[in-house]
Amino acid sequence: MRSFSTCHPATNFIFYMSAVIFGMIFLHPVFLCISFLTSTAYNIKLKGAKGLKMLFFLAVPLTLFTGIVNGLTSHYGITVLASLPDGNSLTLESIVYGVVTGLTASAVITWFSCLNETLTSDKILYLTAGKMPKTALIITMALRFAPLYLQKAKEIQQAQKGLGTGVTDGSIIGKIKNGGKIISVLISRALENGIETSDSMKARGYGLKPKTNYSNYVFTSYDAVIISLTLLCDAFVIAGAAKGVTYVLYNPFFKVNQVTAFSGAVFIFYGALCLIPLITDLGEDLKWKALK
Amino acid sequence: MESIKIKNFSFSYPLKNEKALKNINLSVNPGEYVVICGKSGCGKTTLLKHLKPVLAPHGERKGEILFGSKDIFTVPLREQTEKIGYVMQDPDNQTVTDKVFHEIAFGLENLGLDSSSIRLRAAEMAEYFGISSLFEKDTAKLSGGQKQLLNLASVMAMHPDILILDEPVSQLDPVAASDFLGTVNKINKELGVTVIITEHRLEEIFPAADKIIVMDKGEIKYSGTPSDAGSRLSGELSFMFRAFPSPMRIYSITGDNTLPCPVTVRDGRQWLSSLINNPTETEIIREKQKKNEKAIELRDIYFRYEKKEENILKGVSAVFEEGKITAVLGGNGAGKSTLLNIIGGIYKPLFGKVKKKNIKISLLPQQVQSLFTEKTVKEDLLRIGKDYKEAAEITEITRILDCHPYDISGGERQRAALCKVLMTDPDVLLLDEPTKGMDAEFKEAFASVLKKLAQQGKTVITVSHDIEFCACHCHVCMMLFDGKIVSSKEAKEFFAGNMFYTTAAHRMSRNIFKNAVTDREVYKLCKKNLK
Repeated sequence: MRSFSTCHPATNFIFYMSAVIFGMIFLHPVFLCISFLTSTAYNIKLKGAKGLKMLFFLAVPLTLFTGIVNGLTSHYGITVLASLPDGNSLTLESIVYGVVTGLTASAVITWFSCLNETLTSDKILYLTAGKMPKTALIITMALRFAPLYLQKAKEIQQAQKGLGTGVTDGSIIGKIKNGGKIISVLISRALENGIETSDSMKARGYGLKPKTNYSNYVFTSYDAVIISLTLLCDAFVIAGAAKGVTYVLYNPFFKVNQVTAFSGAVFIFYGALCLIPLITDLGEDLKWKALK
Repeated sequence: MESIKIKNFSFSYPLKNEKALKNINLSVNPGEYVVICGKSGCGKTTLLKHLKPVLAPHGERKGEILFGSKDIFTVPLREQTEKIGYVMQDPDNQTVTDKVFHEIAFGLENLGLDSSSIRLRAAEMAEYFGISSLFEKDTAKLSGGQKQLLNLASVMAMHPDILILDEPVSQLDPVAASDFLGTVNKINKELGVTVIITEHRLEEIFPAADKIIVMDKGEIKYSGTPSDAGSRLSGELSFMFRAFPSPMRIYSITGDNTLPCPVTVRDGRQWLSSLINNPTETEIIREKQKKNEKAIELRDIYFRYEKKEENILKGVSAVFEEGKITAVLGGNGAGKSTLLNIIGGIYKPLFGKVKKKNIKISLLPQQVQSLFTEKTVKEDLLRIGKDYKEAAEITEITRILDCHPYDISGGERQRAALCKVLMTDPDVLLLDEPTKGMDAEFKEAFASVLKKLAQQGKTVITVSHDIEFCACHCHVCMMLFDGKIVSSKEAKEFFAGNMFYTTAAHRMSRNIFKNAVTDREVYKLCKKNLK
């Protein structure tokens, strides 16, 4: 096995699409717990201490907060726990629903945090390039532009400071003027240099047809296996949802369908789906140890 | 492989009466290494651009350029892209994408190759150019030399028959420059690719060149082998004298034409030993310079940029005297520019002291483009003060006062930048790599401006890689190594003591003369011995 981040962008993309969409729409407590726990576990696996930080400083406070706020502001539900000073009643259902909202949001945010680590900007660009090659090229050029011109801005500021006309020199109005000059120079330089860049593009045949898009990523049989597994689990989960396995009611009272052998299987498939990245990564770790 | 033949070609830019190219006749055979040299603005770039029609400027053309048997302007874009590679001067501007591998792939994508062929070619290029460790890096994070190698690699990935290079190393430091030029040689010798190159630094490309073309004012003045060109340096090519390599210059001033002209230092040594058999005078006697008052004193300067990095400067102590031009030499990343910025007060040292009187210090940065903020040179100067005339005359820029600072040539821009810095009326002038990209002619003029300033009692401190310049024109040389000043001597004495880090004239004459450092000194000793 090899880690999820080394997989083809398409593999990563299909997985995260499934995880994020299911995570957002299934509010059934079992589904919710699976999504929250697996995303958090994978996030900790990927980022270590930073993942733990996210759990304790983002997910937990967020869930508590939504639970408390929803409990204090919504008053539906039949299980009254207490009476609030303003005469409304505090109900179990509204607190539970608040917690559910908090958990859903936390799970989705955590999935995105994992996505950020494994589906890097290059991979996203590669996915865009197939459909929109021009947009993808513009993004690539912009990605080069930002750090380059930040560096140039610094260079100009230093040069101007050497003459006593930098942003830190003179009165307040002088400082603003000097700063404005630096920005205007930066813009005219970008335009000037742009002419040369376009020459360089022409010299290397930009505009010839047909153009291809190169990618550094190779689609392997391993990717095919992972994608098949993802889609298989997706199919089962969707079938389960169609049969009402994911049905849940929080208002006015809590209600789910009875757990059957079928719904148990759907839970297992959903769990398997969400564990794919964690299992591939742990698999790689184990293999590493075995080889050493 | 196609050859290029230029027949009676002339070109003029729109709305200009004078022709930029006049009656050019030239043929380049497959696999040849051709060097085009000439002063700034002699039409080299214009000529090169016509060899890649997609880059050719608008204007009136006469005569023809043949690529193989076809008129080059009828060659379709696909064939041009594949067969004629073009590398430009600025390493940054010709980079298109954000990742190294994508940059190499860019041209191949345009040609419509599939991913697996692109992968193979990119791999081949990365290995050949020694940039495979950078393959997945951001292009913005590469050094200038790495960027230019990447630009070369991305052009070579298309497997061109002809490689055109327009001053490719003028923005690079000497180490990166010789690395780059070495790769170009390898491409020519190992792959048989035709190379057409323009460059100011001729020492490194002459030994590899098959043919030298000398241009002046849009015309070809000379075409022949390097050695033959050298033997005409005292005659018809005298206007190029300063630009040619040291051995050729020394050969031409001794006026001895019985032996062939040496091109490299090795040839130069052989020539010199066959010229002078029993040297009687082997030493130049120099007067000691008198000590001037201290302008700036550095005491135990420590500095680093990031908290967790190592110190770049580790206890620099130095004294800079008034009325002298002092050069600080050292390798790449030795901290030379950092030191200048500390003297200029742009960075504060972590530890140590910069002792100076209440004096005005101005800094000429490496990228002089950063100094200009206005629409014309004149307006830019007016930002510093009203009285620009005197400084403009000293730096000889009165002709270009109304031009846009980006429209003037590199050498002119350097001059205008110097003018702007001089107008701040500094007591201490700091120069960061001032001779980069300058042609030999202007270097001389630049040096005389610096000498004038020194005579007025001003202190000039320059950081440079240009050994020849420092040896000829500086008073004191210092060597910065491992964060410290390891040596500080009078310039000529400094170079006379070195074996590698010294001028070509000294390397060439070291086995015969004890301490001749400049061309003139070698010539003087030759003359004494030949009498």
